[in-house]
Amino acid sequence: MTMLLVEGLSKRYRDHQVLTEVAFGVGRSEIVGLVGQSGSGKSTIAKCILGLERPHVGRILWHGESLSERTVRRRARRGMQAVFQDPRSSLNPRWTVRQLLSEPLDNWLPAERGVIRLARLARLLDRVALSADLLDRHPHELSTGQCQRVCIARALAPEPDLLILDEPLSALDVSVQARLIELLLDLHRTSGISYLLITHDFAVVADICQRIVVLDKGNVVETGKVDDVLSRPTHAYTQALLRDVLPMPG
Amino acid sequence: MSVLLGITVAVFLMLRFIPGDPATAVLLTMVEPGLDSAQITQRDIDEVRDQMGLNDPLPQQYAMWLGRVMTGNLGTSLRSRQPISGELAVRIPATLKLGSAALLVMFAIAIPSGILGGLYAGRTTDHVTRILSLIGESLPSFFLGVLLIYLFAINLGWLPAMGGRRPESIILPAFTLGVGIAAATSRLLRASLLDTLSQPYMLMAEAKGMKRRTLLFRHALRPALIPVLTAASLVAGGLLGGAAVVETVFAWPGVGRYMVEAIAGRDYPVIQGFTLLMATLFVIINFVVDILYRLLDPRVRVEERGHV
Repeated sequence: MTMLLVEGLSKRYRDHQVLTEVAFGVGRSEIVGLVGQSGSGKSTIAKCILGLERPHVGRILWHGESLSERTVRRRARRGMQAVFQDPRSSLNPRWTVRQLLSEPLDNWLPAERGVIRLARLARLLDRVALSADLLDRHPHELSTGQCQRVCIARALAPEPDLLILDEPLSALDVSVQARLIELLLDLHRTSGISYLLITHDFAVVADICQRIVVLDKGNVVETGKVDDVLSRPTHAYTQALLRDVLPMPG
Repeated sequence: MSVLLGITVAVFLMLRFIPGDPATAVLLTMVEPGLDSAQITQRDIDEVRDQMGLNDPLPQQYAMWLGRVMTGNLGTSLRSRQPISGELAVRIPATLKLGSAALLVMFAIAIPSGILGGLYAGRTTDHVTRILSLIGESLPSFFLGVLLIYLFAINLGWLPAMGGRRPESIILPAFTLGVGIAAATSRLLRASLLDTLSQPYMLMAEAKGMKRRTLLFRHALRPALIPVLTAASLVAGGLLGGAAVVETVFAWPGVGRYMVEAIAGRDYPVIQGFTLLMATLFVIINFVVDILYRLLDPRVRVEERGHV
């Protein structure tokens, strides 16, 4: 069954149509890449899914129920978490890693305290390959890569089914990107978590994703398995994008 | 410490370089009413200059003056012939009381209105708080003071119009002072809150379903208060320095009014002592604010450790 289903999603800012009848889905344990250039509407889709923007037309279903229902939204807030592009500004600079990771846990496991909580925090950091020694550090005392790992750990805290990753690697240098891709794949293998990866980078999509949705000016122009789309793109826009970033076969 | 030392040098030189001779000024204040100042001879002036140590080299004069200042001796008032430290000591508690009360009024008005303006930006609540802020900022304190005296003291008879003997005497001057500074602080808090609320980590918290109120108190208020603290520290320095206009309007027995009288009477030693005291107060307030910054923003602590 499709876990997240976006149906006929349209969004307009004043006279500017940002999204037009966008439709796609993310299944259980699936990694879907949402690809497009800047301004194609990728992040607006993420905001609509996360409830930060309200679509004008269309609906978003979470496990078959509409996210416009309050109770469904509440369930979805635990089941789907987000990681944004800039890890530094995604973390409250005045909080320690302990506070940052504890916040979602306080929401979902309010009774958990003391040693049990500490063990959970250490486990969370371990899952993203960070040491528990960092618990009392502030974001500015960490590298950008470490900050993004903390963001991922925080997103993993409520044990979600889906992570929405909005350009999670673009603020990082290439070597850190490679390690984070490895980490994301490892988490997917061990926990079966699904990803909706929003990116403009086909190389990252090729590394991580199983399925791809190509977006151009708010319209889905192509969708399919990653290997198929990357090797035999049917839409001119996808072909042009691929020509820019990947060497075309033949 | 180096700032304080610099201040003492500036204050010391101020009196030496202002137009007119301090010895002549002293002699002029000593002239009996009805006598002509032309009767002052060069010999009199030389004698007073000698008594005041004005013929000594400047470094020696400074060292002696600083020695006296360090023991709390700010000199003698030319008008009252009383020790300045004593005269200031009598008035400082009244000024501190008024300044603290005005700060309380400021925070009581500025924080709720700034928060409302920031949370409901662009909506009716925001427009109302902004209009009220504009009115509060535009009203000159002497006008608001007189208005309040007319309404609450003369018409309604609820509060005393002048002086500082009764406990309730502080209400009108504190409100007059507090309203003016609350308006600017409220607008500053609104702008700062809007800026903080637009940070990606706020979006993140909102995406997690955090309620607006929780978001405000857990994430936004502390960083938004930093510029407010900076503004409040500057305002506090001014308030403790004595709000001369308000103290004069309400005949409040503080240092502000004392200073106005000293300026009118060209009482240079008083002006000098007052300036030194206020500059020292500013340094102390800034020091306290630096400590508060560290409590509000952990990045300040680390930056400082990095510089050591």
